[in-house]
Amino acid sequence: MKIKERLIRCFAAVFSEREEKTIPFLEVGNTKEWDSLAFVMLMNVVQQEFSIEIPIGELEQMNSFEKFLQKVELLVKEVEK
Amino acid sequence: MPDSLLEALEIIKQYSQNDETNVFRCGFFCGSTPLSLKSMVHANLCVALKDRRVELSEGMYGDLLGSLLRELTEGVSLDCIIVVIEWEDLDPRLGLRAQAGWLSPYEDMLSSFRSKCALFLRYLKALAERMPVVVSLPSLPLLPLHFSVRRQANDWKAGIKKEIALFAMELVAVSTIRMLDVDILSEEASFFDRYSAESDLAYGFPYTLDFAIIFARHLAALAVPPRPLKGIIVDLDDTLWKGILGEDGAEGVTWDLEHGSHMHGVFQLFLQSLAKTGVLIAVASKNDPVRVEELFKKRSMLLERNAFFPLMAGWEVKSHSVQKILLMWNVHADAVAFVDDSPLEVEEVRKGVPELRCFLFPKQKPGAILKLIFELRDLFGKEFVSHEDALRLESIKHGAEITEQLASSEEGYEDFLREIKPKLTLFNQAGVFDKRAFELINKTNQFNMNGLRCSEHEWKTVVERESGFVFVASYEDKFGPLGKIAVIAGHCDKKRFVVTHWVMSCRAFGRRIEYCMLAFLFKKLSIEKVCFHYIPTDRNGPFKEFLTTLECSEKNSWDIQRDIFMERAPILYHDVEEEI
Repeated sequence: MKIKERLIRCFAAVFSEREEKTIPFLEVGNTKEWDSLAFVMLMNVVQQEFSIEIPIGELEQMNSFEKFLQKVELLVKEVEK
Repeated sequence: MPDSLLEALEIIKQYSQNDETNVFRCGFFCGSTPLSLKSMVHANLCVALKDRRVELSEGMYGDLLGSLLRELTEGVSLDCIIVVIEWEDLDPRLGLRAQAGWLSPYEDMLSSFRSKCALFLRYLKALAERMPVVVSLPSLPLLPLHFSVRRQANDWKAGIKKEIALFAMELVAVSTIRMLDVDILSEEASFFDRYSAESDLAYGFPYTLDFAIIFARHLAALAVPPRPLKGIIVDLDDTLWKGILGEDGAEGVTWDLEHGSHMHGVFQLFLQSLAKTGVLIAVASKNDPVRVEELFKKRSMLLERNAFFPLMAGWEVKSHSVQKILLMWNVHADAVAFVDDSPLEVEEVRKGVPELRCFLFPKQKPGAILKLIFELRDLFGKEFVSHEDALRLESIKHGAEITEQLASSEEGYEDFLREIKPKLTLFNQAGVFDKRAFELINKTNQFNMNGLRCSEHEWKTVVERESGFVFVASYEDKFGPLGKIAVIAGHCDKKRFVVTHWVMSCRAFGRRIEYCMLAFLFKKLSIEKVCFHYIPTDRNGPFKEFLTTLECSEKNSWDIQRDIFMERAPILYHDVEEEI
């Protein structure tokens, strides 16, 4: 499974009310349930799913699915190196 | 059970579609942010409760005691409540987030710790009067607040441990409190693998994700304990003893230190201890039955001969012997374990009886045998041992005789039933919570009218219902007592009795107890009709058969009239008594 598909699965698990097709477009601004707890939950799910560690300080900038995807792809590459 | 947070969230989502009329309500209280721990507990409960919807409520962050107090004063009754207490809930100075602990006087911390334990105890006991409570005492490492090196014990830490031990002793003494033995967590996670300082400081969630997964599994298993297995079938050669009876002879097989076979003796003692708690033990061995019986006569074993039934020694395929044993016990394969030292036999039995839990006995490996015993203890462990547990084996032996009589001739069976002098005592238990009745409701499969399981809270609602009736039946005959073996509950509605719950232990089959209970109800309640809330399940064929004998079917809405019952019921020889 590609990184994007796996990340969609993570987001779908945390934002369980959202349809899967809408997930790539999720941003903090357009997702009312994306609060601080959802942030932490997302981070935990993603870190475990991809066996990566997201620096806590960077979490605030990861405010959309797209940004999450970019960060995860980068971290996965680093781990593979 | 879920192994990752992602899996847990997906399970929660999947089970949230379950029937909203059948909800298990659980309170989850901890002083930290519940986050992944709560999700993991939620998912584990969903899996354990299968077709029920699970709803988890939570308390206020940072105020565990206040949350418990609010639950006590304002909360609705729940099916269960899980309370996770960590060091900082007992004194904030013991947590990393507060900086005051490093310079505080030890005696002051100890005394405040003591008073907080007392307060928690008071609230937990009060909650336990209303619902089952699962409690976990501190599972995380204690900060090195004392000036001494950690390897050297000091009066402050010893004092804290003493207070925790006293607190724990008070908690375990309450029957509706199930306390997690945090020692079990050490098998899977060392102290430092449990705590995440990063997560604690950033989000107020002190656990590592890996530890939360383990911790949640244990908490959920205490909230909804898996049903203990009922029986164990064991091999003889190189399992119950070291050696091959056919080759080494009765004097050549051993189970002691002297012959390097000590662990076989330990296994015998373990089985004997299981037998004492009502676990059924049988032997399935490829052996000469005469030689086996001779050995039991000649040698004094640690596992007594009368502790097991039946002893199937012979040369047939092992899975066939196992199936015969299950038939004699009248127990489903998924409630039974099988232990044999031969990988071939274990595989054959596993294929022949797939639902059986099969274990290879690791002969010559004491550590591995001990590990197997630990595993088996968890599968057979019980919350309490009832009077009926002590009667189980004897009643099954006599049940086998009854089945034999039943198979011989109808006339002979009538004589037999009359001669055994059956006596049925019915206890009117409306308004009374009887632990045995609750146990029967939740573990009986075959003679179970609808397969409905109840939480303690739900069962209390049934027994306390206005216009409701609950009768618990206790049986004995000339072979001895079976103890409390059946429960029927329902409510009266004009001249009819609506049965909502009816279960009877399979040990009591073939004695016409079910007819006798119904006859008693018609008489006692002066009713004209009984309506059954019958729901077919995978296992309740015996109940359906009973209804068929009364020609009670979907056509007549599972109802039976008094006169029709009197006409169709068989002759009843029971001496019936009622006790209030």
